[in-house]
Amino acid sequence: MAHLYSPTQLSSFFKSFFVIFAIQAFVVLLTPYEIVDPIRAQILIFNISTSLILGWVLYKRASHLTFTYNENDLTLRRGKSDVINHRWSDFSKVSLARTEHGEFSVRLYRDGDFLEIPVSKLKLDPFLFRDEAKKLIESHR
Amino acid sequence: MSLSKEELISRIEREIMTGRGRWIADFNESFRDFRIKDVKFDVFIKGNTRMKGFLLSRLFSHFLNPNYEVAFFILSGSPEKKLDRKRLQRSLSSIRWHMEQNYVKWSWLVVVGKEIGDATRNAVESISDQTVGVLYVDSDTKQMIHCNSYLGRQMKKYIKV
Repeated sequence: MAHLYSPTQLSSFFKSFFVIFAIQAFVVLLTPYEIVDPIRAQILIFNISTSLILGWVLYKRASHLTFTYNENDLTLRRGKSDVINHRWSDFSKVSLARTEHGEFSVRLYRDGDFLEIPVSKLKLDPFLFRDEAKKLIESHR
Repeated sequence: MSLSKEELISRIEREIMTGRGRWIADFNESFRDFRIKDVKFDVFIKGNTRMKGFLLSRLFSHFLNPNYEVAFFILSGSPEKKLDRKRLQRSLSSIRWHMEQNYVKWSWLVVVGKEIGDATRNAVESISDQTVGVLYVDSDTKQMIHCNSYLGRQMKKYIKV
């Protein structure tokens, strides 16, 4: 059975929104005051709405996480282009790691290197998913 | 409410990684069924005494906390594999070997079992190593006994069963 996890990561979306908004705000700062002054409210509304739209597009293209797995393999996709595909049998060990910001990720080890699945960002229960990943890896030994 | 041994182990692991364990050290990576030499520990958690944080807490931690690698182990006992001095010494010697190999300064070992008999009590209380804290938890009665090292006494405060 295939499992798909693709929740919206609001913090990543906010970062994209802020990047676009900052660029537009910088352009407004460089524009002469006489031009900006009569339409300040309209500019702010325009900036916020375009930042929401373009921020969403940027977030979907660059940082939206999609994780799918079944009994045999797993795929972690970040944005549109970065796709990591593995079989559970590629890994030998699993651990649960906590970052300094309190977010959890499950590390799948192979040959001293590891693949990190950001379970907190994917809104998965870290402890339960770690146990499931361990079972899947062990079932392929 | 009575917890099974597995539930109790999971609860202690969560407590150490996300709860009160953070008062002891920054425990940041946990492995299940971790084997060191011929002993298989149910849980092994890596950590460091220097906490991470934001600005002031990071600065405070940098200047005041020692930068020690630490480790936390959970081992389950069973009616067939009761904890006696010999079994405890074998586990501790594996832990000491791991500490040497990985420059770990302090370690804690929590043994989850049933019934605290005289052999178990003597085995735990006779440990004199100051770099390892040992705690035995009875999963039925929730009674805990610890070794007399500072680490053992401290650990009892931070584990709730």
